[in-house]
Amino acid sequence: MPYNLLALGSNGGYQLGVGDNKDRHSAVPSEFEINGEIQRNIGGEVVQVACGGEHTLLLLADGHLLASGSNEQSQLFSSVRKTSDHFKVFRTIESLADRKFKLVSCGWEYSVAITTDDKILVSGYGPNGELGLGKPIMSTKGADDGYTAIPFEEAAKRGGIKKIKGSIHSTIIQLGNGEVWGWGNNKKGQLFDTDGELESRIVWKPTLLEFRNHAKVLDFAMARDFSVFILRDQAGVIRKVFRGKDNYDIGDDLHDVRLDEDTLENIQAMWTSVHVITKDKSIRSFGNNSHSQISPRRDVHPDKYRMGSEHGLCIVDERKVFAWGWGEHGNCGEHSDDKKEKDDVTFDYCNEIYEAGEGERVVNVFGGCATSFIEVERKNS
Amino acid sequence: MSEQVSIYDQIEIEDFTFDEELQTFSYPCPCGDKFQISLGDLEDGENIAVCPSCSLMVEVIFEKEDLQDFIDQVS
Repeated sequence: MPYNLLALGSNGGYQLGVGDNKDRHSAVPSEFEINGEIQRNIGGEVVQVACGGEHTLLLLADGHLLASGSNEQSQLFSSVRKTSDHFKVFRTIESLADRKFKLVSCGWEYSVAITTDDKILVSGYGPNGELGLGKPIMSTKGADDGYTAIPFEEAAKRGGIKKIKGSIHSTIIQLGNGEVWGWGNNKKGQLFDTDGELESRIVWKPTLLEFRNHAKVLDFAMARDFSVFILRDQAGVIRKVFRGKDNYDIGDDLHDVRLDEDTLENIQAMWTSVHVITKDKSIRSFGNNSHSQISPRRDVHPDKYRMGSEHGLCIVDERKVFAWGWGEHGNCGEHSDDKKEKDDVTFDYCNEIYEAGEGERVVNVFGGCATSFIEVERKNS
Repeated sequence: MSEQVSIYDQIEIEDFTFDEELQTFSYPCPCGDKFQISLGDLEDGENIAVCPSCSLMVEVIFEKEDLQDFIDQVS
């Protein structure tokens, strides 16, 4: 089955992979350079899209990585000296062509990719320990192929790496034995309480994150300056733990939310809000509502949600895609005439940004920094 | 402030990156670009950092004495 990726939104660094660096206000096909030819077929199903400030990584179901956008800091696992400072369309990362991956995450100007045999590869620039390579390593620009591996033998011994979530300056992984480890910026205590110790403000290497009474982490989400963990303690009680800077009283609001392990689907974050999604596909949002980031009342019933930096996306019936929140770069599409002025940057309703055509199915959506990606499967015709 | 501006968020000065050459503080904007404000503007009492690519603005949280280290760096 052929797969296409459609993109809209902010594109100053070629992060949409559409060949130029102009923003897009409606969904256009991303392009793929495969064996020297530019095409619109991805060549396989995309299982994850990870977005940095101005770069994008695609993980395919077969374990290969594709990249587009800024490589100025070698954040595309490609030496900026040997390749180029921008990938204008998506292309295979040659230095990684022999490796297979299972998870990927992007921060502001860096990337983290986990191989199927649990090696953690990092590339790019991070002055706050983002690369996890130990003090004082802030860049992989000097490395031969523009990337390095974090020495982390613990992963394989503890059930492998199962989940990764990153914010712009920190990363958290969860291992098969349930443990969560994090590294990067901890200035706001988003990984763990610094207890006033200056040394703990930057976490230069993967570090075990501990919770009272050895509670099990069911899911977690990283926003820009805070993290939220959903835990089950030994008595079976669900707890919500907020760590980091709380400008919006999210910690208190979450505390009052009743959650049940059987009904929780996942927790996701924009940069300044968190969104709890339950198996009945209802969503509860907490945090900054400066641009209607809090999920608006809908007359649609989504099957899936994804968050971008300050906007949200959802799919309805595998056919339609809607967006809400801050849409200044076109990432929420354009207002329909009757709704709002064209130049209003806030979408306080679910705006339709894509409808599948004949023989098409919307497989997935992904949100980045004012970017939206829609994956569509087409029946062979 | 005489007119009400819409502020997206508040950010402490310690979270900004300082560029000595440009004498400018910057911090990531959710559009992929960066909020910016110059050291001179902060010295003059300005506290709103703007993004060159979009309309978002953040309020810089700082005390006057926080600036001295940066003034020393550039002089």
